[in-house]
This record gives sequence, C-alpha cells and structure tokens, in this order.
Amino acid sequence: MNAPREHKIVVLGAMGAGKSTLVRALAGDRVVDTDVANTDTASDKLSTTVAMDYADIDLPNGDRLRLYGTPGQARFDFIWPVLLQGASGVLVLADASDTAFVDALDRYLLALREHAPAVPAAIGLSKLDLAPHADLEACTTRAAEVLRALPVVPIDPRSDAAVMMLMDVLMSEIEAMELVGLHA
Amino acid sequence: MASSLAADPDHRERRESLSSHVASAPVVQPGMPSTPGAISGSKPLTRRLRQYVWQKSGHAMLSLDGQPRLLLDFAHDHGIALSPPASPSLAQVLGEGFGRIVLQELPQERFDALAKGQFHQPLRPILWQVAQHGGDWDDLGRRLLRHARIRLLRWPDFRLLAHQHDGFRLCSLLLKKPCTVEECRQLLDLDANTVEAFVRSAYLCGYAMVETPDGTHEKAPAVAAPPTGSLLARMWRSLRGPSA
Repeated sequence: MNAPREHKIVVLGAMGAGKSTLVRALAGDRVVDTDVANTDTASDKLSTTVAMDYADIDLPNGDRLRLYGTPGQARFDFIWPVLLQGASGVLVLADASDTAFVDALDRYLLALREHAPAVPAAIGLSKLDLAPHADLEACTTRAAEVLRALPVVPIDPRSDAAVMMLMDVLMSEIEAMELVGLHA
Repeated sequence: MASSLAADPDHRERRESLSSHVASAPVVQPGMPSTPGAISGSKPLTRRLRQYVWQKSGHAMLSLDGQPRLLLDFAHDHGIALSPPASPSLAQVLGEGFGRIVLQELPQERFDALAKGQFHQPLRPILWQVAQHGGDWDDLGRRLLRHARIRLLRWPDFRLLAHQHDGFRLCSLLLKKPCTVEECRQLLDLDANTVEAFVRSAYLCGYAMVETPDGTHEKAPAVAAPPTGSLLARMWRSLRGPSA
C-alpha cells in the first residue's frame, strides 16, 4: 500500500480579500490561524493574519489536502516562494471593491510566473456586492497577459457553496494540467 | 494570448467554406422566409448569432413557426422574451426548434418600439440555455462526428457555467488542448451528450471554435490512454459527493 501523500494548496491575495475566511470555510474547525488586531493603517480590518492560516482536510484515500493562507501584507512576500514550492494548486483572491484590483493582481501573477509558472491556479474575485460593475474581463485579460488564461470566479468567501465552487474550478485546472501533460 | 482573444472566432476557424467569409450578408435558404434580412437554417443562424455576439452591436428578433419569441439587443447583451410559454421553457422551445428559427434583423427604432416596457434579461445565458437543448444542429453535429476538434478561446462567464462541474472540467481541458468530442469523453469520463451540449453552447456564444481536420476521409484520432486524470481531483470529487 502506498504511503499517504500530501497535497498543498496555497491561497494568495490582497489584505482583506477573504483568504482566512476561505480557508475556514473549506476546513471548518480544523484551522490554525494567526490573526491579531490590525495596526496597518492601509486597511480598516479589525484583525489580520500575521503568519499564515493553515488547515488540513483528510481525503478518502488517506491522502491529506493542506491549505496555506498567506498574509496579505507586502512585508511578508518573502514567504511566498517557500510556500509555492511543491504546491499542487494556487488560489489568488482579489478584492473587487479596490478600484485598482486589476493592477493589484500583478504582484501575485508575477510571483506565480517566477516561482510556480506551471502550477494550476484560479482567481477568486470577492466583494462584488460592493462593486457590482467590476470589470471581470479586465481581470481575465491581465491574467492571460502576465501568466496564462486563468479562470476568474466571482466568489463570496463567506458562502460555503461559492468556496466549494472555486475549489472545484481549481481541481479542474489541476486535472487538465495533468491530462495535457500525460497525453501531450 | 491577447491576440487570440481579439480575433473573431469565425475568422479563425480553419477550412471553412468561402461562404463563411461573407456571412454578414443575409442568408435565405430555399423554402425559408424571403423577408429581407431574414436568416434561417441552423448553420447560417449559428454563424450570424456568433457574429452579433462577438461584434456586440445590432438588434434582432427570433421567431419560431411564425411566432415572435425573443428580441435580442447585442449591444447591451439583453434578451427580451415575447409571450413566454410557462412550460416548457423558452430556451427549450427555441433549442428544440433551432433549425426552424427565423432571425430578423431589426433597426434600432423598431427594436425600441417592440422592447418598450418589456423585461430585459442577460442575453448570453439565454443563448447558452437554448444550445443546451439539442434540436437541429446538422452542420455542427456533422463536423463533430467527423472528429473536428473543439478549441476554447477563453473562460466563459461563470453565470453561464453556474455550478456545472462538468463544464469547468471541459473548459480547463479545452483551453489547454483542443480535443474531439470522443477525446473529451474519454479523458474526462463524460457521456457524449454532456460534451456535445457544452460544445453547442460554447460555440453559439462565441467562446469556442471548431477545427475540422484535413482530408475527406478523416480517421478518428488515436484513442488516448485510459483516463488517469488527477488523483487529487478525483479524491476531491469523491469528498464533495455527486454534486461535484
């Protein structure tokens, strides 16, 4: 019998985009978070993640899905390459209520291009209720220009169904990457 | 990538007949209405709708068996149902009668007069749903049977895909590798009807193009190895249950 394997999913994204909420929605109470009171004046959040969110999910074959939510502040960028190493997939969350959210995506897309260019990824666009006219097409185009065609999924991280759908899309990307690699 | 997104999908399709390049001219087939600007027959209708959607301009009306059914505003991506039947749905009626639909191009003033006070809905979801109901799609069906490959040009709007996991899987695959219906079926372990319905919708809404292989006696592509897929994706689906 094969030893159980571990599959790492990394969640990147801007401060306040909903990364911690997404990890909690996926893993329920099996979450280790490092939230503290926010002292960053760039954000009006009451608390924020200072190390990372971590959760794991047992898969039916004994494997384990490990979720890593990265802190959103720029001063923690150094942790990204470490986390991206060996990742099975990446979720990038963007905050649609930020008027510059398309430009803000560049940080994450460029990090993926440099450290994990072939790792399957999907973009979740949150807070669309605060920005109903946010330009999803611009987001899609930017991803294609900087990295490759990525799915851009409208998401409310507070909704379990929406979070599951984003994970379904990421799993489709993981599956397709492997199929194309196998049958190229 | 940016250039491929900018190209009109009809112009990118390979080995289409010369007539496809003059598709902006109204097409009236024998036995079909001869009203100026009227288009009927599944192939000309599909081609014209794809052009309208891509150009994001123009107005039209779809009639079925002489009865006006749907107003289309391509500039604003709106559809307006006319005398919607309670059951079956408008999408089902139009999908199953697709080969008998007549498209009438409308000037702005005529459209405005007909649409005044009516309920506007997003157009693309209507077209997507129409194509989910397989009616008369002779030309596309024949090309798919002759092992034409489907290439997806970009991710469709997730309002169209809703929570259809099979649709996500087809999008992911076809964006990375153009495949025949049979290849999609085998690689993703899907039934042919699911694949064909997705292809019809993606094609009609301008998200996909169909590449017909060379030669008159096309052979089926070599059958791929049995699907191994991704262990992680399979485990995730197993965890999620049948809804995934």
